[in-house]
Amino acid sequence: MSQNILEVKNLKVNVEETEILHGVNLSVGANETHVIMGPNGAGKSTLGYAVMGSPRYEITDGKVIFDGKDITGVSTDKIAKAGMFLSFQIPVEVPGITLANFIKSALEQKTGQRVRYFDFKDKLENAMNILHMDPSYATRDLNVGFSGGEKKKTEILQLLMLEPRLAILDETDSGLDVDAARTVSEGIEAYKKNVGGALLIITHSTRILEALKVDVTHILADGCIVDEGDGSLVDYINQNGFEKYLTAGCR
Amino acid sequence: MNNALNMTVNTLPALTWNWLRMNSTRIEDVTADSRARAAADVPAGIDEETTESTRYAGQKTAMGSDVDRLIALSGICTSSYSSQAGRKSEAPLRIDLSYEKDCHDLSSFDITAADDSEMTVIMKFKSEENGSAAVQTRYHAGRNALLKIIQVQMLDDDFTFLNDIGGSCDENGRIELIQLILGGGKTYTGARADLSGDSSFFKADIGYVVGGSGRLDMNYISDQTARKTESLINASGVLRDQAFKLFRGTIDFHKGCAASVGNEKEDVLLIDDGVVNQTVPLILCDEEDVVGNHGATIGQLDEDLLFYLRSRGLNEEEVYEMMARARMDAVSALIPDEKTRDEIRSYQNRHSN
Amino acid sequence: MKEKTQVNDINRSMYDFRYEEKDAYTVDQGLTPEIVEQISKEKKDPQWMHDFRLKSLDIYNQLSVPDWGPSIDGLDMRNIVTYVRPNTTMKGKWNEVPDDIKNTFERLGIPQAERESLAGVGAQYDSELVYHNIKKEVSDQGVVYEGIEDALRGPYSEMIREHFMKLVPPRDHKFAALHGAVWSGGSFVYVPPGVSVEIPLQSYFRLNAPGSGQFEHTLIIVDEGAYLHFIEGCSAPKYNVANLHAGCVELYVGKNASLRYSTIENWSKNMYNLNTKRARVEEGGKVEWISGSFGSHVSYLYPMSVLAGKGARSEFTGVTFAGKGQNLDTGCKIIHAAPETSSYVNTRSISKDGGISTFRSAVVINKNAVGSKSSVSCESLMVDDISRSDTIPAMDIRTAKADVGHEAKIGRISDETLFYLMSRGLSEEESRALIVSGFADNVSKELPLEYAVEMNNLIRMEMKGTMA
Repeated sequence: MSQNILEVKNLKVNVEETEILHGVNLSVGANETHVIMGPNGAGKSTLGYAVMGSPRYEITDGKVIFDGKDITGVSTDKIAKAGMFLSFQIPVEVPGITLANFIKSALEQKTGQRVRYFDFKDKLENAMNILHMDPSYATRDLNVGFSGGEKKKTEILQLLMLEPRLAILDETDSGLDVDAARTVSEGIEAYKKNVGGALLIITHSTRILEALKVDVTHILADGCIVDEGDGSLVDYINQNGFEKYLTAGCR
Repeated sequence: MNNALNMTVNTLPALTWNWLRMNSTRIEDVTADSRARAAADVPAGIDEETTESTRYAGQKTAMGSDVDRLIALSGICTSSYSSQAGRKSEAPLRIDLSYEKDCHDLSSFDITAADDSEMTVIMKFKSEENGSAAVQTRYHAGRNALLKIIQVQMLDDDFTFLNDIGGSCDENGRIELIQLILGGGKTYTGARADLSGDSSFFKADIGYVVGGSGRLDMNYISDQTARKTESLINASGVLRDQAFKLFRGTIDFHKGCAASVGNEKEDVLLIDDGVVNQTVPLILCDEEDVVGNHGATIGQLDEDLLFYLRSRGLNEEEVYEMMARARMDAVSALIPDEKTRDEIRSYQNRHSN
Repeated sequence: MKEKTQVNDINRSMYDFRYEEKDAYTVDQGLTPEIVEQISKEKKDPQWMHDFRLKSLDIYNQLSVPDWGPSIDGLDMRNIVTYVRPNTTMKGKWNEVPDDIKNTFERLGIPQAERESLAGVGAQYDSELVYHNIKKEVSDQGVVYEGIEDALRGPYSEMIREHFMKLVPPRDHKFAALHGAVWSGGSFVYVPPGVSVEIPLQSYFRLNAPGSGQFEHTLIIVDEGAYLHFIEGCSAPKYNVANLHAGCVELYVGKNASLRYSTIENWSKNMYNLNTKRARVEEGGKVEWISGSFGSHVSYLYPMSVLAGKGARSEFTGVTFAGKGQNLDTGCKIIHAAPETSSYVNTRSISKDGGISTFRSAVVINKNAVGSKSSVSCESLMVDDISRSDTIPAMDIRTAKADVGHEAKIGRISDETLFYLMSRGLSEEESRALIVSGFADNVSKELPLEYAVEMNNLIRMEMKGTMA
């Protein structure tokens, strides 16, 4: 039995003194693909941010265990170095730092070593090709002036370059047109194929799931997990929506 | 007995180069005669009182302590108006000042919005030709109180006017000031808000038209010391002929005012070549967790806009008239009193170029 | 591609070395007419300069220090030695310069830079020029680049006399008057009409003797249609005694000419930097100021542009970093004195560790500057909750036919941005340093590569705590 890469135990999270998550439990196996779905306002993004150690989300109870180690309350950069990645729903613009330099810095932080320029350049080019990204984006300031779709692609680009052991994707396909959504999907597949890490996909639309084999589906409503199932649960939701869960209560 | 004073008013909270001559303004020989007769229409729920002097003597005002000296010199007393706690006043308090020819009148007002109350004050200033007047208004907005002060100035071209405001807000208190300066000779004015209560709020909407050889000298200060305070200063004006205008606007974030916000915006339409426009927008900051913004746009109308309107048959002069009027209308539209808006419209129609 | 020596492991100590004063000649402390006479005699001034110095001293004694801005009470003029000269005269060749002086510059990476196609280096040790070399290709074009004291006695003396302290007259303020009386050393550059100087000219100066003042004068005249990029970068070691820099830069940009003046000011943290820089731009001309202000204990620095000819233009891009114990009052002034002139200002300022940063500006549009445009943008970043940042801009517009836009913003490092960077594994310290150097990119992207690297290294050093 493979060890779980992520275990969330009875997690309670406050945002600005309001409790948003009321005791979430979930486990993700080392190479699995999990999906978290739920109605708007359920707390799905909150879960992603809290697990990643965002200071705005206060963990008031419970634990987060990553790769066997308790990371509850650990600072974000240490969690990232340990191999977790969060793809932002609204990626932040960072003027003055180019996309390429940023990824290179992040890689150097991760490995603790200087990155060889030519190896890096090739790898970056390949990754950008997979995502149909114009190479000129590498020398543009990170996300500055990028369209919504380009920002999302940049997140997946980072996913491919940083090769985390667990990637939390927060509403990755929201706001994307059909082509962009497909490209992003291909990027995620490439990650799965080349790195084989675990995926925790937070979404309320299921386009990008079409090509992925989903191992576990969690339904998050009103701040806790109200149901779990396999990939077929996604189809159920697509047909019936979340109505059944709106008054379900926590498991 | 010499009842005249040389005054220094409207001093900048932080000084700049002296050669700019914007640090403060000197007014010579200001006469302090008598108390102006104000016609006050006091609605139910507002208590009226006369006190020897202001009960907020420690409260700093925008124009500065020389106005206090002037008032002390004249020996006039203060008219004090207060709302009742927990009560929203149904009608506005109206204070009308009509200055007679050659007067040198003064007024001192204290306006207090008690805790959990709502109060609106509408002050109108009119005059005949020549003369001067000074008005000092101190206010206090209690906890959760909303105080609106609306001032409309419709004075004569030869009139000198000093209009000073200063006050503070308690927790969740709000002060909303609307000033419409439609006429006058030399006007010196300013408003200060000390946001010393957490989550208190200061909004100032100022609209002005200065023409002829008029002078408008302004000083607005938002002094933010408490947490989560917010200020919003909007000044929109039109300068024509040989008008002179100096706008000073300060957002002062003191240490401890975490999570506070300050926004200052100035828009000036310059119509004729003889005008002088001076602007000093200050942001002073001693606190990390704040957001402060200032923007100023000064000049003529956007070329594209001008072209568009001309393509609809208006000549340049008509376009400028229209846009100048539009700026004033935007401010007067904020006044929640039909009667006042009507009066403004009549005044504008009488005085349009 | 040019490659200057990387200033790699930047630590403060690299700039903080100094050499024991050898038998250097020192003027009495304190400022009297006798001392000014001494200086003038020592420099073999022409009569007009001698008279000019004495008149300036007069004015200095009449004027008082400004009543606005950071306090300079820590500076006692009487205790500043105004003239220190090492016992070496100007040298033509690098290998003839005395060793310890050469070492000073070697450690600052000058020899390599000199080798690598720089046009010339005017380097200043204390108050005197030590070494000057003009590369053949530049002098072939007719470009004059000399020590100003020498040039005063040469064929350009009349030109210098016509321009010297006319843009910054001694009456302007107390430290301009001081400068007029005791100025020493500096560069004179003349670019003839139509000449485009492709390689940037650079100049370094250092302050070495305890208590000595730095009063160098830079005079640059770019004639019609010519182009020049001049880089001024400086550094000074640290002492316990207050130090003063009251230099003066006068830039004359001719008709349709263009001058780019880049500076990274990196004075040590006990310096009083009271510098005056001014440019006058004729019809169709352009001046670009690129300015990075770090270092110094107190700074008063407001490069001023006078747009004197139709269509003249000024662009000012600056960044100021005020750290512990620093009070940096910087900004710019622009006078639109002709029609259709334009100005553009983009500044950023950073306050950290109790530092105080003040942005102070003036945009003046005269009555005759019809059709002028001005756009000012200043942004301030508060890095922590013990620092201070003030923005004091002013505008005076005297024509209706002008277009003026101004915006100012102040805020802190966004939590969201910090979290984003940390979520990619960058430590909090590293993330903050990256955000702040990104914030300063308005200047770094305008500088030649090696300066941009130096500037980014400076920022990282400042952000990552003090090096004792």
